Order: sequence, then C-alpha cells, then structure tokens
Amino acid sequence: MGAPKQDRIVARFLRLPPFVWLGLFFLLPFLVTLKISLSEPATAIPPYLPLLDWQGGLDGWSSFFEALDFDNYLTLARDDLYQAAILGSLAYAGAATVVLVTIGMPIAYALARAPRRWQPVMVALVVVPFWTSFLIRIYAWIAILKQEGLLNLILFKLGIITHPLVILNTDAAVMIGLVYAYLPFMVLPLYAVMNRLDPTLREAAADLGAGPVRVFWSVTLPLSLPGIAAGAGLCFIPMVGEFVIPDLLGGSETLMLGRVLWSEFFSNRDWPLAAAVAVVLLAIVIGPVVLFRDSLRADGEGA
Amino acid sequence: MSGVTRAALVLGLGFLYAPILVLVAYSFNASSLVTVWGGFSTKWYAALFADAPLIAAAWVSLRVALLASVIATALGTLAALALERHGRFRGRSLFTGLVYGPMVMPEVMIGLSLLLLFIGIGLDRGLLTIAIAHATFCTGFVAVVVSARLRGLDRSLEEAAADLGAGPLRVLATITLPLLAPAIAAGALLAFTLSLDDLVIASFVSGPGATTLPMRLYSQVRLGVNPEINAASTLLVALVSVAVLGASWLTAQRGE
Amino acid sequence: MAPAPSLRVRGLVKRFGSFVAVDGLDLALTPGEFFCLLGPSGCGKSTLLRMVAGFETPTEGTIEVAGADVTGLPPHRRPVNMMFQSYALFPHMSVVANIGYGLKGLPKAKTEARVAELLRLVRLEGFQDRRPDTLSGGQRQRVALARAIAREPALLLLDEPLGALDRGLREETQGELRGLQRRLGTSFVVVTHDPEEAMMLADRIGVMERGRLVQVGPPAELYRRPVSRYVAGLLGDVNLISGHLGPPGAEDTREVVTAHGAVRAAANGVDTAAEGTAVVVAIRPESLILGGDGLPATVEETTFLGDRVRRLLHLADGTPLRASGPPGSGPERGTGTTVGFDPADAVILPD
Repeated sequence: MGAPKQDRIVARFLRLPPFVWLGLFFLLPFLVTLKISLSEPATAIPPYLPLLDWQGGLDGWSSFFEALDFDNYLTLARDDLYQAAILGSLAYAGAATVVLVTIGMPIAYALARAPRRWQPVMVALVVVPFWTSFLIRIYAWIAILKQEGLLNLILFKLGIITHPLVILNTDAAVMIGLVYAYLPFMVLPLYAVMNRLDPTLREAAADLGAGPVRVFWSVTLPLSLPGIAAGAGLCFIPMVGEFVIPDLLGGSETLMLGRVLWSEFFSNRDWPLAAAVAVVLLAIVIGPVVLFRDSLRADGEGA
Repeated sequence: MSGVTRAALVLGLGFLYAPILVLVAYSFNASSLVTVWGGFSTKWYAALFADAPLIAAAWVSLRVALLASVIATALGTLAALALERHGRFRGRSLFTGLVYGPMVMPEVMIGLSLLLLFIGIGLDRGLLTIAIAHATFCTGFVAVVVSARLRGLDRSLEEAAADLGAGPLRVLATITLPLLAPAIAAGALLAFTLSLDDLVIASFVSGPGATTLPMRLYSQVRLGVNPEINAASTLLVALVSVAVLGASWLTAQRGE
Repeated sequence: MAPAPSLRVRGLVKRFGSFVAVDGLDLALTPGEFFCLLGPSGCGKSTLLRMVAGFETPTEGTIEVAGADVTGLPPHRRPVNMMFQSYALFPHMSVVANIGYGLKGLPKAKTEARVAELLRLVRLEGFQDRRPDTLSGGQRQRVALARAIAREPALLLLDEPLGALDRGLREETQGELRGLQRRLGTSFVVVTHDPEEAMMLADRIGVMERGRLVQVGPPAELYRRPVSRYVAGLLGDVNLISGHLGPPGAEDTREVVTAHGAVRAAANGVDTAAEGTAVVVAIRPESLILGGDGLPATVEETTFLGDRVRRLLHLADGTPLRASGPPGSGPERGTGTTVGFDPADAVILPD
C-alpha cells in the first residue's frame, strides 16, 4: 500500500500489544524454564537466585553461563523411568494417531457424502463434544470401563463374559480415551479436504470402470493426504503431552511425559528436573511440527 | 448414501455420544451405583446446587474465562491484523512463532513455565495469574479464526474507504472491524470455552483461594464416579449443545 | 496560461521483485478529458491505476494531479477517487451511507443535500436505505459511481467499470457514463481490455503492452494509423501483406514491394527507413477494393451479413485477406479477382 510511513506507524501500533504480551508471558517463561532446567536443585528453590543475577550486567551474564549445569538432562538420559516415559508418550500418541486415521477416514468420508442440507448439522454434531468439558468426557469413560461399570455389565448380561474384564487403568483404557478425545480433531480436517474434492473426479473414475473400493484407493485417499497430514499433526502433538487421560484412565505403570512432569513437580517438588522434562517434551513436540510444516510447504509447491 | 457410509456415520457419532448419554442417564439415577438403576430422581441436581465449593469454583471459572477471553480477543485480533494486513516486517517469523506457538506448546509446559515466571517476578498467584495464562494460550486461537476471515475479506473494500478519504484508523473502525465482527465474536467464544475447560494450566498457576471448576471436578473425579458430577456434566452438555446447534443452524440459514 | 494537466505521470516504473509491471511511463491528460487505458490483462494498466490512486508506491517516477505532486501521499490524501472493478460497496452500510462515506467533515445538512443530489444524478431515488446485496448489478454500479464522484475529485479512475455488467446493460451504461462525464467535466481514466468499449467512451486511448504505452491518440487515429501490428490487431480486423520497402520518396506514401507486385501505403514513420527493410502493409477489411487495379486474389468464401457482405480471399502465396463491403454484386466464391486500396487507407508497419 502507499503511504509507507503512516502505514508503518499503524502496523507497529497493531503489533506492539501482542508482541509485548507474548514476549512477557510466553517467550520469557520459556527462557526461565530453560535456565532452571540447567540449574542445581539447591539454587532453584524459590526465590531462586539465577533470575536475580540477570540484573548484574556483563558480570551477571558470565556467572550465568558458569552456573549452567546439565545434570538434570544427564539424569533424564540415564534413568530408565524417563526413557520409558519418552518412549511411552511417543508410542501411545503414535498408535492412537494410526487408529484415529483408520476410524476417522470412513467417518469423514461419510460426512462429505451426506446430503448437502444435512452436512452443517452433522458437522455440528461432531463439534459439540469438542466444546463439552474435556475432563467430563474422560470422566464418563470411568463409569463405562471400570470393573463394576457399564461395559462389563452389558457383556455379562449378554453372556459373553463370566468374569468382569479389567480395562480401566490399563493401556487399552488410555488408547480408548485418546482416540475418543481427539476424534473430532481428526475428522474435521479430513472432512474439510474431502468436502472440497470435485465429485466429478469420483464419477470419472467410476465411469472408467473403477469399483467403489478402487475409487476410494486411487482417487479419494491420495487426494485426502493433506487432510490426513493436518489431522495427524493436530492429534499427535497434544497427545504426546497429554496429562488428564493417562492420569484418570491409565494405571500406575502408564508412563507419559506430561504425567511424569506433573508428579515430578507436584509430588517430588524437583523443579529443575520438571523443567528439564518440559524442555525434552517440547523438543519432541516441536520436531514433528517443523517436519510437518516442511512437508506441507513441499505439497503446496508441488501442486 | 450407501449402507457402508451410513453405518460409519452412525457408529462414529454413537462412539462420540455414548459416554455423554451414559452420564446424562446416570445423573437421573437415584442409586449412586453404576450397575443399579434405583429409579428416576433429581436429587443429585439438588445436591449440586447445595454444593457451595463447586458453585464457588464455577464463579471463579466464569470470571477467569471472561477476563481471559477479553484479553485474548483483543490481542488475537491485533495479531491477525498485523499478520494479514501489514505482513512484511522484520521479526515476522518471531512474531508468528509467538502468536501460534502456545497452540502447539504442551499445556504442562505452558503451566510450568508461567508458574516459574510468576514466582520469579513475585506475582501473587490467584485469579489474575490464571487469566493471564489463559489469555496467553488463547490468543493464537483467536488469531486463527480472525485471520481466516481477513483473508476472505475483499481487500478493495478497505482500499475504497482509503480512496474516499478515510485515514488508516477510520478504515479500521468503520470498515475492517465491523466486517470482522462475526469472526471476532467466534474467536471470543472459542477463547471463553477453552479457558472454561482448562485444567492443566490452571492447576500450575493458581494459588490458594482460586480453584476453578475443572480443578474442583478433577479433585472429585480422582476419587471415583460421583452422581453429583454426572448432574453437573449434564447441565454443561445441554448448555453447549443448544448453543452450538443454534449457531450452526443460524449460519446455515444465512448461507441459503 | 493553460490549466495544469489533470494527471501528469513522468518516468513511472513499478517493479515487483524482478517483474516489471510498469516500465518507464509518461502521460499527461488535459482537464476534462476522457481517457482509456487499453490492453490485455497483465499489461500493467491496473498497476498504473493503483499507483495513481495511491495503493502502490512507484519504484521510480512522479505522479502529479492537477499540478500537485502526489507521489508520496497516502490514498486518503489524494484528490483522486476510484471506482473499483468489484465496486467494493461496503456490505454493512446502506446506499446512503456508502455514497456519503467520503463526505465526512461536511455539516450534516450539506452531506444530506449532496447525497440526495447524487442519488438523483444516478437515478437511484428511493433506494437510499437499501443494502448493496439487495441491488441489481446495474444499480450497484451506479452506487459505486455516485460514491466515487461524491468528493468532486480532480480525476476519477474507473477499473473495468462495465466489466461486471451483462451485454445489453453495458451498451446502455456506456452512453450514460459518457454523458455523466461531459456534465461533470471531470477527467476520467478508464481501464479496460475491451477495444470497442474504449473506442466508444474515450477522447483518447492509450494502448499498453508489457508495461509501456505503445500508442496514445484519438480512437480514429489509432484505428487508421496504428504504429504496430499489435495496435492494429487490437482495434479491429486487419489484413497484413508482407513485403520490402521500396526507394524513399518525398511523398506521404511509400512503395512496398510484395511477392505479387508493388503497392503504395502511408509511410507512417517508416519514411526514413532503408530500402529493402522487411515490413507489412496493414489494411482494414472495409478499405479493400475488389476488381480494380491491384494484386491477384481468389475468393474463398462469401458471407452475407445483412448490411454488408464479408469475403474471405487469399493471395497466390496463401496470404489470407478479409474484405467487407456493401451488399450487391461482386466476385462469387471460387472466382479470381484483384484487390487494391487507396494508399491513404493503408499503413506500413514494421514487420
């Protein structure tokens, strides 16, 4: 636009509040966490000293770097518990993502092929649970999965089982919870992509002799890949750091990073170690984001 | 629709709604046992409204959500305008990262790091710190919603206003913001809901006397199934369903 | 002293990265002139318009409006208004609010009087409280026009003003636009890709090609004396016969030697070029004379069009020709004839 000078003033005025707020309450806390993850427990008990050192100018900075201490990360690397937690988080999130894609695809496909008139209502039906309290939706599964719960009652009445199944506080319960909680995040991006697909492409494939299965595999699925990528990213990332689901539905042996961090912080009061867990968790989460963004960009250029 | 797609839809929606319907059913069960139907009763609702700590927690949540969504809506709208309308500037990638970063940041990380900051700067923890934390992580969501609408907005409307003698601020006030109003409202609603729903971040940054509804529910849920919570859940679900279905019906009407 | 030009552009350049949208452009409009910028999409005409309005900053060069340099001014400080191709009517405002948007600062009574006057001018009395989305395409166009002239700009820019209208309405609106411009006495600059529209509206046409103005002049001059094959083809059907320049002479016309014999045509700026230079002779279909002195040709097709007859011919080497003349007797399909023309009706163009 013209008027470069005036425009720049307006733009700066628009940027300043978010810049200041997020710098103060997002970037700065992150740096503080990074710093504390590199501190010994003794110095990190509030009020912790390193923060005050920042006011000490150049001397402060040099002592800041001297005080860095990688013990917390070494502890994480050496301790089996933390390795298991890292692998556990990735395994749960990865497995749940695969299940989500598998059951999300047919649902999204069915939504996209539903009569136009009904689609807004059906999409709303998929969205409503997302607006409902996350905690309550997970809590609902306790009543269903516990030993004297609804599922066992039904199976028993149907004569399928004679002894109640133990599902609550197992890996299966965690998986059910993850899939249940994140299903809308998988279905909506898939639906968005499938809804935009030109229906004549499917018709053309059918016209050329492809049966419904081949139409799906050769046309619908390949063209839905951007939706799958978006849905997978949208689900995998928060699932890695998930706390509520493993805590309420998992057993004591369910190890996920979010939960370890929570107990490290609230139970063991080891703040530097909790901070180090947080940084590792972030690294695991940011990795796929960067990869995901690059693959999206490549897709955009290829199209 | 073929039988297969219809079945996928029915099963999928059934999976999404079964647990919620179970909660609703149990909230009217006179017996507190899951396996026993003790007859229809509304006694758990009566107990709910007599539960002073729960009511207090609900008020804390509402106040936090109101404050957080106002701040997040203002910041998110400004951020969207800066990115979509004045997109080229130094530090753009840093700015983008700051705005959208909190959306992919694990909640435990946001909660922990903000707590460490609040302690570091000596800010007393309570309602205000929860609202600050919620505003921080909701800003990106508002920015996403508002940006999408801005991208769909015909740029020549703003140019026409400038051409007719309106300075940048008048263009913003009379053209851009009125046309963005539905998106800003949607963003505010999203921020409000996200704040109302958050357990993890609030648990980190709250202090004595500032217990939110999810925090209160969580401490009770950990003790097992509780019919009173079923009643609370039913009320929440009913409220949200009416709002979302109404909103989508309205947009569908306008589209025709 | 002559009044300052309503628009003067000097050495205007606009680059987007390595792409040059406008490439060294000079132009001056006399006050009250109706000027059309004609060219295909991507030729830089819209970029030029947007620089004059202030939405793009020129890479080089200056823009003056009514004698004042506006190059560094933001859009809202320029005595220029624009009618957008999409009309850009504010969807959340009534017709009155749209038209009155630019009148901020005037006393309320004056604003109301001015808006009422404008509504009358564009024949939209009774529509003042309607929203833009309840109006027809033609009504919307008139609201956009009224809004753009409300501030009595020194210069009105119109980006494809009739592009969104259907054919019948377009012709009617062309006449209205022309009449309005005469009454207001404001300089209009219209951007269009439709040559017929440009000829119907403009006092002068500027033909743009790849960021440059290749020819500026009244419609008749551009039609009769185009400077290039591009301009000749843009403004209507044209026959092109290639050949080589004959020896230079003192006259306005010059000889061109073709494969089928020598012809004479208006020199049109090539009078000093060397003998033997490859050129083409351009003749409009209605200027071809069949059956007199001239080059031998064969009639391929005859089409009766009511008020005239169009004939498709070809020369011995296959060069296709189109002739258009009054209905009546003439050579039939498949017969041989000759084609000639008055040298003043043909121009020599660089090959």
